[in-house]
Amino acid sequence: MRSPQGWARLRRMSQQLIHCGGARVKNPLDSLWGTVICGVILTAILFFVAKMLVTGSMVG
Amino acid sequence: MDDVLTGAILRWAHVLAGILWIGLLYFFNFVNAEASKQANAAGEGAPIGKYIMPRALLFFRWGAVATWILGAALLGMAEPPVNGMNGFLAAFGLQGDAAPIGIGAWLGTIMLINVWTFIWMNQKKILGIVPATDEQKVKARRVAFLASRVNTMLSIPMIFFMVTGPHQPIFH
Repeated sequence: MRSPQGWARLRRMSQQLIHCGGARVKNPLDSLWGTVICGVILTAILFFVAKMLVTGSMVG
Repeated sequence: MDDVLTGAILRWAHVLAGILWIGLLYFFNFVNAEASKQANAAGEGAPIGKYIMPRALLFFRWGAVATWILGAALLGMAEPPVNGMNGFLAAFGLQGDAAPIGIGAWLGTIMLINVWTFIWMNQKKILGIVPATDEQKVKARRVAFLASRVNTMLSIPMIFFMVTGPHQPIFH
């Protein structure tokens, strides 16, 4: 189990991740191209998941 | 009617319903979102909300239901059974060769739930079908927009697995 300090640190790190250089990172789904790119990336990830489920190995 | 003919008719109907559903989803995201913004800025957005959106959303949400039911029926008819399981259970259980189509089926299921919960429930507030304050409408517009964008994003892998799922070589 993570300690309260650990959770606080994790929360700070996640906040830093969405605040790069003081500017809030935009939600990619606000843009049509961002949405399409996210969909293509998700397809690639799920392709390897499916391959692993079918063959038991990522590399075939 | 034999199973081959029933399967072909089910597949045909599943694709037709899917085009209706995903076609309207793409209309909302690729055309209507930006067009509505421009129409509202010009003070001419009211007819879209009054005449186009209710009808488009009617076919959209029932198209989603029809697509899912027809897809589930097709999975149930899948031959040969995977690991001795019914095709529907094998797909949703991501079993062996049924895993790719199962991933597509799970994505489609998440999208269907999204349509009837986040999108439709919030659109009812935006269109005035259920009473809502201006503040609630602003919040509903953002949630419905993001839910619709999530569905657009999920539709990309969903269609990939629907068209490649039955063609196993790319997964071996």
